[in-house]
Order: sequence, then C-alpha cells, then structure tokens
Amino acid sequence: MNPNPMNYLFAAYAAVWIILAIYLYSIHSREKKLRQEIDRLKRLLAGK
Amino acid sequence: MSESGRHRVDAVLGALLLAGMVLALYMAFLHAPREKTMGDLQRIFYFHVPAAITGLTAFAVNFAASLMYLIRKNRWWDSLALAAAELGVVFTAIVLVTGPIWAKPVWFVWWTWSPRLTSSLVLWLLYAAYLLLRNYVPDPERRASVSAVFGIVAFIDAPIVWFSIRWWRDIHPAPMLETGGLSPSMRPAFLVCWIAFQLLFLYLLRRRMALEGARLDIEQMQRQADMSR
Repeated sequence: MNPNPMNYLFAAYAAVWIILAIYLYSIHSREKKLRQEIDRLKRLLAGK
Repeated sequence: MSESGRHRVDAVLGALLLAGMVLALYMAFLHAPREKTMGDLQRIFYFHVPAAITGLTAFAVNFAASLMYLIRKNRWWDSLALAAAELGVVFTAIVLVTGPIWAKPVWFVWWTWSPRLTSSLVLWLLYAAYLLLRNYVPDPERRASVSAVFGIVAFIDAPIVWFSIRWWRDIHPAPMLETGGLSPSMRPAFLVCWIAFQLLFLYLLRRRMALEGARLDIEQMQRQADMSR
C-alpha cells in the first residue's frame, strides 16, 4: 500500500530544516573556535 | 563599512528573512491551491525549485568571484567564492534530498539516472570536491588560484543542469516557469518562497564571509606572533 502522501511532504520539509540547522550549527561552532583562537593570539601578542 | 553599519545591515536582513520565511510558509501551505493530480504533495515544489535556483545562483556567484580573483588577485574575491560554493553545496543538497522524496510517490522510484538528476548530482559532487581541494593546498595564494580555476571549470555543468530538460527527453517535469505551465494562482506562493530563499542565501553568505574574514585575521595574527618570537 502506498503510504500517506502527507508523510512525504512532512519528510521533505523536515529534511530542509535539518540540512539548514546542521549548516547553521557548523557555522556557529566554527565562529566559536575562531573567537577562542583570536583571544588566545591577542593574549600571546600582548604578552610579548 | 563600519562595524555598527554591518550590524545594522545584518539586523535588517535578519528581520526581512524572518518575515519572508513566515510568509513563505503561509503562502506554500495555506494560500497556494491544492494541485489536482498530486494533491498536497505538490507543495514540495515551493521549496524544491527555489532551493535549486538558489543553488545555481550560488554557483554563478562562485564563478564570477573566481574570475574576479584571477583578474584582481584580491583575497576578498576568494572569500566570496568559497562562501558561495559552500552555500551552493548546501542548497543543492536540499534539492537532492527533497527531489527523491517527491519522486517516490509520483514516479514510484527514489532516483533515476535522467539527464537533469545526473547533472545535478555531478554539480554537487564537483563543488564538494572544490571545498575538499581547498584543504589540500597549504599556501593561501596558490589555494585561491587553484580553487578559482577549479570553480570556473566546474561551472560548465551549471548550464547543463539548467538546459538538460530542454535538450534531452527527461522524466523530470518541463520548465514550467517559462512555458506558463505553472497555474497563475500558484505563482504568488512560488515568488514569495523564491524571495525567502534568496534572502536566506544573502544572510548565510554574509555570515560565512564574516567567518572567513575572521580566519584571515587569525592567519595574519599568527604570522605576527611567529615573527615576534
């Protein structure tokens, strides 16, 4: 039996949000790492 | 642009994006009429097609920025090319995932090696390779030049994706937007969704470029730290 077409619609919309959420999370975690690195380097340069 | 100016642009763009996305959801689910043959399943169209157009827009930006980098040798163009390629991969991934979910109940298969589907997958693989390639070239100048050449060559596939359904027989639907195949009652919803995706692209492009700018700042600071040792 063919599943309810609404399941496919829900799955497709969920896929869009999941892909975008993963990408936003990856940007956010890279920003966080870079901020930490900038702070470390600023301290290093200020200490010289 | 000053820091406060950039924040103001980000705030305005963020507000527009939020409004655009809410409106897009309303238009796609409540305003657009139910399609006669596919029923509610056809509503996948309102983000599958805008995501595809946005993906191609992103690759076109990568192409133009790559060309500009080779002409000007300015790292800003390389950052733009990188950000656009990454977003092109994200939006094309949306297309490659939502397409099969839509295809299964309509074509009764998840995937078929038709010209449109195959060229789209090849396009995604080419730009995924572009992003991987950047990790294997340590010298920044060489990395930017090699990537620019790769980006320009990879873009050859973009017009093939666009014209594939005009050039060859394909199971994929014909271009509805130009041929008037899309019902006039569905056009406003499509237009709003398309604008929302373009705003999302702009917003993410700015964030990704800011990230790349911070990475370049770190590279410079590391060089200074190395020199002062």
